[in-house]
Amino acid sequence: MSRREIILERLKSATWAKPASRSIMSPEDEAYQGEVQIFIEKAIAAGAQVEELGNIAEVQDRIGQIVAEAKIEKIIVADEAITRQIDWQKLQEQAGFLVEFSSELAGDAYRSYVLSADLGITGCQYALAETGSVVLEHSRASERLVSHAPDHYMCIVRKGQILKDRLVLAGLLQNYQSPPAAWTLITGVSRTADVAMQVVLGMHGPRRVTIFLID
Amino acid sequence: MKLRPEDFQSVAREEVAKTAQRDFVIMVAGVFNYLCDTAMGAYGDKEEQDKARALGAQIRENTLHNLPQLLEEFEKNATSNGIQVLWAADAEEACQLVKGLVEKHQVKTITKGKSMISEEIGLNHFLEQETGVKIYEGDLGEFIVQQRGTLPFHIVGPAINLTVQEIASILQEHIDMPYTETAAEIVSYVRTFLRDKFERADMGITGVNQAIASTGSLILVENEGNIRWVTSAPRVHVALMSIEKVCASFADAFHLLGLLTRNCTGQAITSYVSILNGPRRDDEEDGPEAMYVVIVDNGRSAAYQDPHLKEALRCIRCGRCGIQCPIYGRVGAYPYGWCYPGPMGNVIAPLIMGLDRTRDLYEACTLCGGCQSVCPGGTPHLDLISRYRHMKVTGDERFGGTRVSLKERAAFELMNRGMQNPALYKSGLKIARSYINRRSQDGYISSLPGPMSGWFTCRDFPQLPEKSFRERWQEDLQREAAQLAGSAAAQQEAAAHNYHLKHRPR
Ligand code: SF4
Repeated sequence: MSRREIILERLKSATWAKPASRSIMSPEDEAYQGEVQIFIEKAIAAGAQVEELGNIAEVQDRIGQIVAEAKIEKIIVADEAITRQIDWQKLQEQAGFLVEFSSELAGDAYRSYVLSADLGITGCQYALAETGSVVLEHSRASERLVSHAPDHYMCIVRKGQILKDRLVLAGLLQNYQSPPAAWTLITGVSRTADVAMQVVLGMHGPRRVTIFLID
Repeated sequence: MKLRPEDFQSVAREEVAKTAQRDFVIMVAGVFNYLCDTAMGAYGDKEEQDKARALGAQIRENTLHNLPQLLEEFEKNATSNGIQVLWAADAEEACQLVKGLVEKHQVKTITKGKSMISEEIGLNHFLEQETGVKIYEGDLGEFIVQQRGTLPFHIVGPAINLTVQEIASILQEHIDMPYTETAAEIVSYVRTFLRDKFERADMGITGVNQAIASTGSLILVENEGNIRWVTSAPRVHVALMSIEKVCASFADAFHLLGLLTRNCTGQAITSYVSILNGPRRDDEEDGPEAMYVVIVDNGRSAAYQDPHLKEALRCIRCGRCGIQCPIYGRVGAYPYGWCYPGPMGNVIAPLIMGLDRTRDLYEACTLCGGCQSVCPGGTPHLDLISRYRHMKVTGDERFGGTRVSLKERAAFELMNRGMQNPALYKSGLKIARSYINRRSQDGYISSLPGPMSGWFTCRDFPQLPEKSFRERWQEDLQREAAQLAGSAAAQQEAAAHNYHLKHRPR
């Protein structure tokens, strides 16, 4: 018998166990609607900066301003419908930085670019009002390190993407037709309290997180 | 790290003497308790919080009832997601399996996310000895204790007992950090130091917070971002998981995670929750090319067969019970001699390391029940700890418990009989009183010969009073009854007197 069989046999021989109904919690599949104000409050409490803007053109302007203020030189952008709506060409000419879509770089070129970028920008799949989190679905278009390697991370969220809480999200993730290799829930800024209980923001992830909330 | 639970008493003596550390840990426990209680408030009032905990306990119970089926289902779904699932009977086997993967993938550098199971099996030490691979802990606290070469002090805050000055000196010595007492500067230096390791590592090793059977997914929670690096940058990801970490659905897992983080750091959610469904897809750049899950038994399946002992597998490793425990608060983590200190460790250690080796752990408990009252997994700490004590006295070969000596057993048997029979108890107490009090000095007894001698090695006992509580109680009752009887007689006498006065012949 293999190790696996020995362990499983042993578990199965427990006479007290009564295998029965499976999931205890049921996902909430009706309450899709999220509360925007709660989302904003929670995201700010977790250390994110949240800007409520009217449309993507305003996001473009704000990115231009922030990039100029912070003297950002290198940006990596996830290749998503929402980020494609920004006129990067124009921004680049105005603010003079370098911008690449993650999907247009491969191998070492991708790796060295993402590791040296100052700013990563993505959209998201969902957001959670309960915790102020954004939910990213990773793929070739939205690589994992775009939101993690750069010092500053920006996420563009449509209000309609906000879900009430994690039980709503549970229902959606449970029934995915072809799930991606990874989802990440990001809530505010990376942090640690490992040095004498003092909370320090920006341990291994971005030190600054900006969420643009649009209609 | 060598596991030394048998040194509990001597290490505890040293640790208790460190008063500054003790005061700090008690203060930290207070802060954490406040944060966790506040976070639990998200569920509503006390009743709603109890309901949320009860649901957590129910989810864990459900997992236990369905454990082999859930593991098989997880394995099937994870495998079809492209994850390779391996099984290990014990610590040695788990370490050998990982060693095999290190060799197969020609790994030179490993970065790790904080994983208690890897501490449990002693993975770092084994791999460094056997393969010469370089291992870097990614969690700051874990990184500090790795440099220092000690056990983690708490499962959430491994270095929480160290002062800024101590941390600065450790990092100055081991990674050439310029000495600074500013937390932000320490964080910044380690961030840069580890960043390079995260980028270059060939293999990432993590634990698992929950594995979802119905989808074959792994969920990992963290605040620092080390796990995101470890699961995104290296070519290979190995996740270690003990058999009980599986659950049925996302909904169950998410409810448990809410309880976990609220009772762990007082957060509704951690900064990052990684949900992993397999290695990176063919066209992707980030994420591992190969992904393994090592399912570790290490004594758990034996405990699982016993309807009472299987309850020790409910734990979701939030660490809340440690914060609650008066013993852990005083002696700290080191005396426990292994990676799960405090009540959470006391319930699982005897099943993994044996009742003999861990005797001091389950004996160093006042049975106050603070741990049990807050546990979101429904762990019955008190029942388990009492049970281990009983198993140790009577002997239990399954879990490495040799019977205590005939003398000790006889003493327990005598006490047992006496406790059940009031007359015996009374006369026993009288004999014991004069025997014990003969050894009293300044009102205290510091040692006794015979089977009770061990009890006095670390505590004194006040001299027994002349009369026991029951005796005084009885006397009080008798006195009161006499008074009552006396006053009743007096009343009667007075009434009779009045009657005579009234009816005396004129
Ligand atoms: S025993 Fe309960 S309270 Fe203690 S760590 Fe485990 S789940 Fe948390």
